Amino acid sequence: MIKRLFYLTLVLLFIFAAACSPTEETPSAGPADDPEEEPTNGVEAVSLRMAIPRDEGSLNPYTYVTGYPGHNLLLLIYDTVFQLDENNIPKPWLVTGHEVDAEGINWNFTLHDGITWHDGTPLTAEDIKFSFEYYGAHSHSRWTNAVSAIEEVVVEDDLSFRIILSEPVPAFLANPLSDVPIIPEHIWQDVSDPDSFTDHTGSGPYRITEHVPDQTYRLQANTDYFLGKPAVEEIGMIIIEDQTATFTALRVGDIDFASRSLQPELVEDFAGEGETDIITGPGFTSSLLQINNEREPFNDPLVRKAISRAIDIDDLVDTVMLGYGTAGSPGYIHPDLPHYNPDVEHVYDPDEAAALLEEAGFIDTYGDREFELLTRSNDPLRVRTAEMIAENLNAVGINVSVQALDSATLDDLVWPEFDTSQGRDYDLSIWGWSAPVMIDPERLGGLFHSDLENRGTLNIGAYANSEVDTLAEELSVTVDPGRQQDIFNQLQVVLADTVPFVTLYYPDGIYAYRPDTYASWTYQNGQGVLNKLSFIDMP
Amino acid sequence: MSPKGMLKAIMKNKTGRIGIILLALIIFTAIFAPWLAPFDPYERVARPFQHPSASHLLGTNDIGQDIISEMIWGTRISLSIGIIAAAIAIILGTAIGILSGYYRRWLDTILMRFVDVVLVIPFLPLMILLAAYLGPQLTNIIIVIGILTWAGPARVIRSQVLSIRELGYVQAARSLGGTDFKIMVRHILPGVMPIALAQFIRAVSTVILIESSLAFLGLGDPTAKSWGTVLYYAQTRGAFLTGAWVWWVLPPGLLITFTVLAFALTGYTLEEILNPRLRSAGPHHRVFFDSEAMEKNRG
Repeated sequence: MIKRLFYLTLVLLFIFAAACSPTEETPSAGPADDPEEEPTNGVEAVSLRMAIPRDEGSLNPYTYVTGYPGHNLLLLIYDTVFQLDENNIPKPWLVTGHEVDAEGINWNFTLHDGITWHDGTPLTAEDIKFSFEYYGAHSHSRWTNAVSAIEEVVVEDDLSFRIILSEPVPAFLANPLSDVPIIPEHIWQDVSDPDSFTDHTGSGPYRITEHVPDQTYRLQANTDYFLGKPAVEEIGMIIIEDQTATFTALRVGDIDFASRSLQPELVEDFAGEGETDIITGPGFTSSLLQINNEREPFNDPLVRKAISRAIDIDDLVDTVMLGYGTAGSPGYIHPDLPHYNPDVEHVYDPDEAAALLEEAGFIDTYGDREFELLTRSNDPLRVRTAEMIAENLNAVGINVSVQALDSATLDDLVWPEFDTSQGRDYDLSIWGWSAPVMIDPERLGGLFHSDLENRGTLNIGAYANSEVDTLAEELSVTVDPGRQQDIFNQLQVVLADTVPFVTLYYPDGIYAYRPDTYASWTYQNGQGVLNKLSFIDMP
Repeated sequence: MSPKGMLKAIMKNKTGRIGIILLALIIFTAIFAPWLAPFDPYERVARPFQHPSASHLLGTNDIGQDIISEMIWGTRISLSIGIIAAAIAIILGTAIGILSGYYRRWLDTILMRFVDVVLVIPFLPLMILLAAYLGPQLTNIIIVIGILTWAGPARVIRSQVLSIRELGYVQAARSLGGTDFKIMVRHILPGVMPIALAQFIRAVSTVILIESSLAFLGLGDPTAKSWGTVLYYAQTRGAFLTGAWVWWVLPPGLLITFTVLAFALTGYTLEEILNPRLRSAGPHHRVFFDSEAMEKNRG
């Protein structure tokens, strides 16, 4: 309610601004110069002001709120044992390297010397052991599951430790080791209710010096950081909920960077030689046409294949994303990921789609079979995507109408109680998954496995294919990279052929910033520029 | 007064004339939209985000639909929403106004206190809340607006009923043993029709404004091309940040303004004609009474 009112006020202000001072809105007029506020030429300490869309609590591992940018900000304050590099390959961070036995059960690590917490206490192997045990004992949606395979952490001395797993974990270095933040034992040892604990002492390159809820955060560089002084001295974070307000602020120089991705239609205005510039790269979030695999006629793989053939994905990327996206692979995996299978390719062929429909016996003789394509009403890009898909499907004889619903209602129909075993009530829906669902092989099983109770926790279309089940199960215990790749390849071939859903596109990340203040951003493939590597060089 | 007579009377008044002409233009556009619009507003006819050009006078929107065609078709949708929701409001308002004014006593007290309550509820927030709660379908939006705008008209109509029910012919009907229902439908309803009509015209403009606001805030049906929806897409797709607001925000804004103005001018004039108190007053008084009428109907 309050949010709506706030929004309304904002809207009124905009109307007012547009009506009163039209010249201010045109790009040619340019922002007013503000020499006093204008920061440095890069020699002195850099101070960066950035906008985030909402409050992230006290930003410790239990109180941060969003996957993006919350988790990214968290990892500026806390460290992980490993760190994903630009190409999402895990590299040693707090540790010097690793040794692992042939079975993938015993992992040995040695910490860098001289790492301290923000309060000056040394970070030791005991803290690592404590962190993993703490996450195991105190439930958290992201960490607890990630550390579940850790049987024991054995502390050899201050700097060396061994992690013993109960079973091999395929991407152990990526998750949990590059994902789960390490917390200080001397602060957390007596905390029994972490959800209401607000301390945020970490070991990362930045520490929080000030937090005004719903307004601002101030992050100060950790000058004693074990990998050297961070490139930006101070980061001020301002919470701006409204998208238009965010980029207006960036344009006039009230902020230097926005965590949210720039809309493709604004690229032209922000890119180039001016005071702002953009950095773009692939994004690992996905946009899908979700199909209810249980409901007639979509329970027939031929019909689903026909749907996939009927959709002009390139046109979608070109029109809705204005080209700032990658066309979806029918194997779901993003082409920039190492386990992508280049042999699967989306085919747009309406004639073949019609032929497939005929083969499947789908004939809408009286034109009275209408299917609903659901979409979230508050996401204009998704509504537009839905409208274009309806156009495509109507062209091959599948009568589809777009129904815009509020997100709660939509979730309730597609993914009731976020539990796939609770059933579902929809024909078609526009859907999307966040980047972790793309990168983490564990979750890939969740997307496709037909055992909805235990394994297929993200299988919202109730897709069932015994071959995929077997492959997913095998994948979750395979450590050998070569064998992993084989499974990935096979999986994508079967998926492309049986179409659990249609992968439409992966929107690019487009980040706008003011290069005069800070320009050395590092784009982590698929995940954007808000990461440690933008401020600290990889050791 | 017959409808023809009413129209004549309105045309005599300068404000009324402007209102009627604007209204005629808008209704004409709505009816002849398919012939007036250069393109099908649902068809993608060019690249997205085109600036205005000879072939697309107001450019194209975020998926390459012709904006001027959207405007023209939007007239139809916005107007239909306005008329349907206003009809709901006026039917409700008239029914409650007649019941309340005719029976008086406790029913009157209950209904009018209820009207008071509805009138003092912060209007827009409630509307936003209900629209969000019921979901963004066009029918829901129409119902929400309809059931929240009846209170003002109900009160105006009740006061008219209060005076009609004391008139000789009504008293005569009653003494001849006419049932309450028959009296209300046969004798009172025709008496309040002109006022109801004036209220209806004014309600249409309110409804169009509300629907546009809701749609603009993203609470409308994003697949129905009303003017508010066009504004919604303009706002969410960066028209305020680029120069596009000139051809993407101003035109629907102005159309909404003109339509509301047309209905308001017609409605005021009609009210002035129908209300003897307003008619007999001199120019100075008219201003005073007009503002009072506005006050009364603001709910």
